[in-house]
Amino acid sequence: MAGVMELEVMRSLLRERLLRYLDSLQSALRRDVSAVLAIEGKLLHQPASELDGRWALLPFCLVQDLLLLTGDDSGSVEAACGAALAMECIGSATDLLDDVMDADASPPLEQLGEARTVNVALALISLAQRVLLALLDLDLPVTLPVRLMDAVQRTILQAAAGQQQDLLAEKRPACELTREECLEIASAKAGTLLALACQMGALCANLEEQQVARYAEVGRLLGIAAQLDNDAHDLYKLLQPVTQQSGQKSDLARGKKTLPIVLAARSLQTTHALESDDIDFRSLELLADGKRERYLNALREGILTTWGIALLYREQAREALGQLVGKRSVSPTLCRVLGLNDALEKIKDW
Amino acid sequence: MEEQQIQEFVHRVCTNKAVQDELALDAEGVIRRANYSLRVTTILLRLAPCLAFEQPLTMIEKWWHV
Repeated sequence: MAGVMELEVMRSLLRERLLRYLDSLQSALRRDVSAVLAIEGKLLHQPASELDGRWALLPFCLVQDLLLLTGDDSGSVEAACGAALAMECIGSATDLLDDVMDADASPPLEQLGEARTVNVALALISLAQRVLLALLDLDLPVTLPVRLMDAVQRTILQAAAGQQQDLLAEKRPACELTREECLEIASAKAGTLLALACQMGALCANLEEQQVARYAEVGRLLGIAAQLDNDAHDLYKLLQPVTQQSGQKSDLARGKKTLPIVLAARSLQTTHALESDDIDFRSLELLADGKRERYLNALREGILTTWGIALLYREQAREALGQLVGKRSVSPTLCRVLGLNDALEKIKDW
Repeated sequence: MEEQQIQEFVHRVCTNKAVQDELALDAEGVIRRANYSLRVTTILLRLAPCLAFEQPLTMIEKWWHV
């Protein structure tokens, strides 16, 4: 195999395989599942953009990168396709279920409604398992599909546990939560999904258990970084002039206790000696000017701290990957998919 | 520990105008004097324009917008 496939070639290959699996679905269900997998960011989106199919591309790119070490192995490429499609299905299913639980006005939820969205999520989770079971028909170690399915099941349970913590936290005052609890939730949700993507890639490349766990850890750290960055930027948008905000319900309005909100509450509590019951961010526009300014300053502080911690986790992921690969360079394609080819290092020269 | 350092530094700048002004004049000096690890120093230098001048955040990870 001459080097690593480019992203668009990978997408085409995976798209073609995915469409074959979708053909096996009943037609009305296939329409809804295809519609979900064709939204922006998903593998069937057309015209394809840089971000499309990222859940599938991560394990696939990782296998490609690792196969550069071991030489061509068509069996591993087939396994990589299976892992990639399973990951696309699992990632898409969890996105849908998150939209339902958060009552987000996302395109799939608006298009399908709640009931059909949940139904599509269930179908995608089952489809992921069908894809992995199909690997038993190939000339691969029989333990591989079992290990991949085991990883998927564990991840789904961990993510559900994280979501449970997140949902219960909505009922608690923000001041009661700690930074560590918020990071645990981020780890259990986004962290486990990205860990799964890396783990599946490492399993398909037939790495030893310890190496598989280390690649999973890189994914977990990146997942936490992505979740924190997401939470910081979502809240940041809220502080912009009304004309720049989207119509979507904010984390504040939903009562979600993301890290920037928890940090803001704690800052208000310590700086202005407010009681935890007095701190409520949900109706900022109704506060008197002086109080509103204090709240906005505290939110800004929470956002900037969260962004700093997101950068920290991202740097930890980069270092963990560097330790794994040693002197070997990671392929540019894998770096792009992991999102680790940017500017943090350049600042060291200031 | 590094999370705590970032949190404390940002809190100090956000709640103390004198520190914010000093950061605006000499971000590198203020941050390096705190004697953090290279990793934390690098991160705080990246945050400095937002802390000192209220510049907008940039999306660090467009790829994985979970």
